[in-house]
Amino acid sequence: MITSHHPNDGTVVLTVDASRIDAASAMAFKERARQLVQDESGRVLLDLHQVEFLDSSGLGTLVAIMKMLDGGRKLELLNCGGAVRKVLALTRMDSVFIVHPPTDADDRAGQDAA
Amino acid sequence: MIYPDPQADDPGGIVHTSFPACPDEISEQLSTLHGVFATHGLDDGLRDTVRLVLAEILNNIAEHAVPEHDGEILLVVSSDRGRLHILTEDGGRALPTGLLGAANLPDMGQTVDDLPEGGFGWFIIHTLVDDMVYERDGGMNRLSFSLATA
Repeated sequence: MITSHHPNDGTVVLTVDASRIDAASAMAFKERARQLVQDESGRVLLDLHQVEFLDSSGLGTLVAIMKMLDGGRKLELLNCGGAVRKVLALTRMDSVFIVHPPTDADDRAGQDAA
Repeated sequence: MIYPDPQADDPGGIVHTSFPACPDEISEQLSTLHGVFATHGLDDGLRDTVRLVLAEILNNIAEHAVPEHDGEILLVVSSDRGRLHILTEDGGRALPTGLLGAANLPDMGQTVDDLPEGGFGWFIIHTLVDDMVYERDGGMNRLSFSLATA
């Protein structure tokens, strides 16, 4: 559902291993994310390159994950596809998260943070 | 308004299906329909819009009209004269009328902790659809709307 790796000290990349974050899966994503971020104190990047569908429950899930980060850290979104970007823009939540521009490089997060 | 009759020879018919009103089934249906719409030549932008609006409507039905998830939703989609016509019916409780009026974005608050985690659904629906009709008739909820295909 979500896997994590650390491209460098202080940064964790969470990769969503699913094609949709929606009403059916929102609770499970929140629980998994909570496990993965609870001991993280640095940047948290969520890689959404596999996600082709996000509904309002999925959007709420992203908000919930950001609220798990203390110290006012913002959740950073990587590799958002067209359907995901559309929902973020429509609800103006693209200004709430840090939305990185699309890139071909899967390890962009690591390079950014290096 | 004339709805497609599944008994009639209906060249504009795309979908006529029913499924349990629960989030897991809705998620699977929407994924399947995304492929069906592609075979009917709908472009990616329209398919994304239909999927999103239907997700919000169907999950609202599951949450508010059929909260025990013990009923079914009928979904009918057809195209006619440059528009996609979409109809849902369910035998659940009446939908809260407050949901059906014009919707605003939820209050964003002042800090991260204030950010809303819900309340986006009807804003999304009303932003993308301008002809939603809700009818309560004979113990049935009927929602219908259309989207331009070009």
